[in-house]
Order: sequence, then C-alpha cells, then structure tokens
Amino acid sequence: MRERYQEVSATGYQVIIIAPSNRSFLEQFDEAFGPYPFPIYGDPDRALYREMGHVSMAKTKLLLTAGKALLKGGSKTFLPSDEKQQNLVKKAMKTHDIYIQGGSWLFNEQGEVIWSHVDTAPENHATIDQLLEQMK
Amino acid sequence: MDISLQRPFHEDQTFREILNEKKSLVVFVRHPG
Repeated sequence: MRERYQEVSATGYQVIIIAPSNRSFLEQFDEAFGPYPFPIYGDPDRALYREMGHVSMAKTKLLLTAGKALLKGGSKTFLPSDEKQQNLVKKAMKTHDIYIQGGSWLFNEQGEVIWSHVDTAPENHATIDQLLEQMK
Repeated sequence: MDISLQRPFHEDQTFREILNEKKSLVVFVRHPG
C-alpha cells in the first residue's frame, strides 16, 4: 500500500489501516517502519473487526500455509532483514491475534459500505489493482 | 461505528470520527509489519 499510495490517494479516498495492536506497539512500529503516508489505528480487542464480521481463521490451515511458505522461501519470507524490524515482527507474531481475518472495505461519504472483501485466507487479500478498479 | 480506536502518538478516536464523512478505504491487517 505504501508503494502505491499516490495512485490510491488520487482516487479521492482517504486510506485508513486498522491493526489488532495497542497504541504502545504501534508507536514502536512507527519508529521502526515509519513514516507512513496514511494513519494506522489499533483495535487491540478486535471489536471493530468483529463488528464488521471478521472472525479468527482456523489455526491448522494458517499454520500449514505458513509452513509451506517457510519451506519455499525460508524465514526471510516473513521477517525483514533489519534487526529492530525483525524483533518487532517476531513480537507481533507472539502477542497478536494473527488468526483474525484481514480485509478491505470501501465507504462512501455517508459512512455506508459500498464494497468489501474479507480475506478467507492470508493470500486471499484484495490486490491494489482490484481496489483501484472498485474506487473508480 | 462508535468503537474507539488507538492511534500512535494521538488521542483515541471513534471509527465514525475517523471516517469523518469522507470516502474511505479501510484495510484491516492481521498484524503490522
């Protein structure tokens, strides 16, 4: 998203990222990975995730997918090379509900949902091109 | 809509306040990074 933010922003939509993190973690994340051109908000209790219909996915399926990716690409598939960033991602893996479904939602000015995609698996997320198509 | 969210280095805001009557793309991630 960060790499193609200009294209997305040019559609007139504001971009908002929601993570299942608390403020303290997001502040560390911002210092290690930031700055980002869009705000990242934390929903540590996943209350908004659940209100929007996101649920925790089956752990066995996710672990199987992660195991396959690990065998194919090694740990660099998941972890950045920078030590500070790497430690933070490891911390997230241990402390976050990484089984919660991700997803993308488009809202109009009235706050109504006009399109949504809730990921059925980690690799099932909407691509930037798909989002741009919906935002025309 | 009135669920409170945490933003680094800022005060909490409700989801409604964050949308702020603007067209919005909201992306939920499983974890940052």
